[in-house]
Amino acid sequence: MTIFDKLEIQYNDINKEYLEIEFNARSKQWTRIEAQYRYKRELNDQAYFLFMFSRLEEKIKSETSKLIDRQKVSRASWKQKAVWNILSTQSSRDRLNFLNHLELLTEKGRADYELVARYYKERNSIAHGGDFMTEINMPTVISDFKRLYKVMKAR
Amino acid sequence: MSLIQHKSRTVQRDENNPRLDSAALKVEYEVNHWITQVKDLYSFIKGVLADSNIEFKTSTKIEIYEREMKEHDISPKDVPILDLYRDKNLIATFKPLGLWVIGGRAKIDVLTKKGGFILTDTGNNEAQPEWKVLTSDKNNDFDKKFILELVNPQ
Repeated sequence: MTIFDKLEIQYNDINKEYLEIEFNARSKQWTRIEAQYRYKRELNDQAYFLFMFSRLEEKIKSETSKLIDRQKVSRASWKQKAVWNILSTQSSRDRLNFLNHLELLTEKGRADYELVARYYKERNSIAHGGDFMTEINMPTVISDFKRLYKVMKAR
Repeated sequence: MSLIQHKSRTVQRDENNPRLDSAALKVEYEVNHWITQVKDLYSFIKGVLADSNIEFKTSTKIEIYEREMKEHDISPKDVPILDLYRDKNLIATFKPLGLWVIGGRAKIDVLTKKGGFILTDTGNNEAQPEWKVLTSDKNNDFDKKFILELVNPQ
């Protein structure tokens, strides 16, 4: 069971409980409580989205580290190795932003790159105190994150 | 500046930037089109349950005001919520939440006594929505069988 499977179970438990309370409030026409639990579900979505994105982010950074270490001792030409050697210094690694890491693992412009970059924008919006810029469907997000976690590998 | 009439509202046309104007019209068209699709979905549900003892209410509305609408100065829109009742007891609620969604088109929350689920349009044809019940493992068809099971849980 991956971390995403565990987080999914936990997310679903909480979401289900909030949905039931929201539904119960609607059936009794308790509009304030209904709105309150709708908002709680939004916050829960944001919290689990951030939690899951942080796991994906860590995986991507860890894989790029592996890639850099592997390439600098590879049998590539001295010119190619020089690039990886320069990238391997701590100061160079520190200068790489998240999208630079992502670009080392998947081609910019391809579907997976664009998908992660889009989620990254949402992550930044929430992490800086905003809301989702675009609506998300958590089942889709969870499914995407599970798949991306598997395919984002140093090759 | 000149004024052009489009459906329910008047849109200001900026003569210096006609492209922006058409973008606003496109957003407004998409929102109106989506509201029609939501109403069509409700009609489908009512049709499936026509011979049952389920009562329907669409008297409450939810306000939709998404980023694309704000960016193009489109006014918020009211979209009806569908409530399903049996013997005066609420058994399901359909709450439309938005049109623009990452990884799909449209989002409708469905709430029941035992939790709920999300309905989304996964089709590629804007004119012919393919409503699916989302889970992280697979998407189920939102069809007659699903609706009957929704109102008659085992």
